[in-house]
Amino acid sequence: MSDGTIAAIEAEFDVFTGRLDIEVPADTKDGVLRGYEGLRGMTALLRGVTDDGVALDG
Amino acid sequence: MADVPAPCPPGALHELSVPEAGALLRQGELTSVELTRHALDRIARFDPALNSFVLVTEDAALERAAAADRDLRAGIDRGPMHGIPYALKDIIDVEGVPTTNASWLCVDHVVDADSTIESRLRAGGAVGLGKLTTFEFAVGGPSFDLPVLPARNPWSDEHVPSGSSSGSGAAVAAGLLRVTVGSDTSGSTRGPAFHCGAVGLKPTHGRVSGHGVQPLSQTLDAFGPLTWTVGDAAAALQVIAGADPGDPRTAGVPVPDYTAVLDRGVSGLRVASSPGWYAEDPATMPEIVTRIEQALGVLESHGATVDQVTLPPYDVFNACGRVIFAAEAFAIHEDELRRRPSAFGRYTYQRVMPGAGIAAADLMRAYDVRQGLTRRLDETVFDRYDVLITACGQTTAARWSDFPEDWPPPKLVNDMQTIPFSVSGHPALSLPLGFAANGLPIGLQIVGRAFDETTVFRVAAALEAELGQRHRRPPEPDPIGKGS
Repeated sequence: MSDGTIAAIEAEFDVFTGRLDIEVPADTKDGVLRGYEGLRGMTALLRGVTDDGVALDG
Repeated sequence: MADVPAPCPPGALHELSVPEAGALLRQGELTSVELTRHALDRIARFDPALNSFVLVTEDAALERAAAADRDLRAGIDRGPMHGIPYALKDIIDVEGVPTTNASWLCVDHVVDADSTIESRLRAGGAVGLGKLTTFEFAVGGPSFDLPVLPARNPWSDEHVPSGSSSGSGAAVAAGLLRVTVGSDTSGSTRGPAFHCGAVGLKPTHGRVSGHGVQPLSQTLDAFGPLTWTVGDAAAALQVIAGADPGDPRTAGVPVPDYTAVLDRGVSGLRVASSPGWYAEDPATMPEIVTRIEQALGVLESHGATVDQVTLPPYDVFNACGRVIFAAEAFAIHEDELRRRPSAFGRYTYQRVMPGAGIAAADLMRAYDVRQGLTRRLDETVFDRYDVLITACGQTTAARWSDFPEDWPPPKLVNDMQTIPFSVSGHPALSLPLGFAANGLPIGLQIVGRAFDETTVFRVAAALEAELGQRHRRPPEPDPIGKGS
């Protein structure tokens, strides 16, 4: 898992797209990374709750 | 059975509800050809300013209307949509015409078979007028780099109609026709209905077949009517609902008579409300909170009991839905994203491509949480109450200026609270209930038990009768040319 900086998020996302043999056009990269950053936050949230949505640290 | 109305002046046929028009058709006081010509005339006059239709199949519509009239004269009645015009979001297949998905990737894609939705409406004697504007693949918009321009909001040139069933919302609100069918993955039917002042139903997952419909997110997609009134929606659902061998996700749950329950009232119903999700959120317009409180008061005054409940956290529902949406949408489009990235609109590409970064473990986690949230919602609400009333949108329609040209804003729609019931699969209806101080429509969301659209319609019909303002239409668009 990356440290959350934009460069680290980009490096992390590039690993996924590299595995899939997908090249993201440069003029859309910022928007794609913005969307990916939001999704990272959501996956982190889901890892921090029980199956029925109760916060594990709550 | 609806009361039989007096014959309607020819210039106002679009103000006849589906049950009213149906009664006149069966009485011989109105023909489907008259009704269809009226709708086609309004489309020709007003749609150049609205962009709600991408294709009008005028000749085929008039042939089907004439056939509907012949059938009725011969004593053949094909059901509640017999002789009634409708149109479909342009991700739903109709044999012999393109399903463009508003995409350069599909612009010439003429399909050779009807979707189940279309085949059921056709068999039900309804009259298809054509295809309606959508965001690209029901996700990328509002955008100006697609084969078709985005639909306009008939209430305001400055505001978007929401999406992705944007043409449906615009066309119904402007009175071009009463019945459309759209898709709803996280709010794409309920959102345009809310922001255009129409009725939008996301049925229970598995209630309506998606066979022959472009998928966006297979386990979140649902398909349902966007109409002017609750009665119109009940009539349309009656025809399109039911199990379908072509779609293994559909369920073999019997389809009740939705239109028979609309006047049963709400006495004895148990209603849950959930102000915790919206009332204290500063993003929610005060008029919306007030209107929901008024609606709950109306239900109590008609004999329902109303209790407040505490729901699972909204943010968890939202995260769960967004992760599933992103992963499934990416999977559907992965091949073209690799081969032809520049063929997608910029919004579409930037909304779908991030799903490449969802790990399998995170998707499975989202599916587990989805099951848990749904179970908790049933235990908290639907084991004890007949319906849940909550916000649909938290604000009126967004402005065009809220959508930058180059990259999409992070939320798909404007502060909607629709995604929880896409996650849970419960039926949810967006009901318009008047207007905010800025003149734009507002309303609320009614959610029911799985496969109990009947009770949702009952509650919606009672509120519509008292607070619905269905007589109020947007100003007619400039009939000469495009709006600004």
